[in-house]
Amino acid sequence: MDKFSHEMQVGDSYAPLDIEITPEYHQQYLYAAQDFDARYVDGVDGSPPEVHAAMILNLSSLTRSPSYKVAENTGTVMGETECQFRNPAYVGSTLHITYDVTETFEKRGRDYQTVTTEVSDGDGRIILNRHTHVAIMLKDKPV
Amino acid sequence: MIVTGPIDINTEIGTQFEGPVYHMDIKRLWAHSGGPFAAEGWPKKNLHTDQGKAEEAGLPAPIASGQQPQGQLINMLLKLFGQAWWHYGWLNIKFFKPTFADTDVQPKLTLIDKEETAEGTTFTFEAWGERGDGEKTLGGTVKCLLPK
Repeated sequence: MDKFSHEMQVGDSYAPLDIEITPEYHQQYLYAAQDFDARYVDGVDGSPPEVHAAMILNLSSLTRSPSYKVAENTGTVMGETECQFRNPAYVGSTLHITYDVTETFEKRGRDYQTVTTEVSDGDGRIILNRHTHVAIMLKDKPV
Repeated sequence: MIVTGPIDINTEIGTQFEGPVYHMDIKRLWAHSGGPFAAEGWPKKNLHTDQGKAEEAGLPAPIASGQQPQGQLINMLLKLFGQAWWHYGWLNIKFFKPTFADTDVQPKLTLIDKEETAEGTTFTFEAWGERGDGEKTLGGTVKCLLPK
């Protein structure tokens, strides 16, 4: 999808992201979150270490799509998000993340997109379903 | 109360829970929003990691990604609900005011409803992230079923 973010319409999809959760990259998020709980380092009940929620949330953010791009003097800001967790994700797995535009609307003179995101792993388990309202920002109406 | 372990099924409506106070050092923002350490030119410049980019967006300083205080909230929920959070955790959050680099933020919850069904007990909370100046950086509603 070769469109700028502000040009995306209902039915359009940003390119999906496939990303391997390596221990090294995961550890970076644990440092950021100041959280080295045993579930993220050793795992729970014999399962591999779990992927930190902040990493799942960050990867499921629209800006992580490989096709995300904004035109000069525009940007996007997350206004509201609804998240339903389904399963833990594990370090060492590869996550597949989709970003579909499912609604566009205007609120207080500003354009918004609703981006519906699904995170799944290599076994087809759904990790997270998410709907996010993203404001399209223009330079004359900054953050 | 500070969250240290699983929620008690008999917790009363109105009970407030608090997580740790997190200092949002710029290095934590680089780690979260700067891309992989190994990437050339790390950290990637954006309004979460770079003073110049923040100023371009009309901000006085870099701001934490909203996912960071949201993740802190979920850390607290994982302590309260354990593995049940990954299967039944739901939240709806609005982002109000930015959390600037090198300031503090603390996740907080107030229990506002409990519903018992055949499956277990669903707890509903008002949830927010509170900046050091008392303003809310984000807030909304959180639910989780604790199965029998």
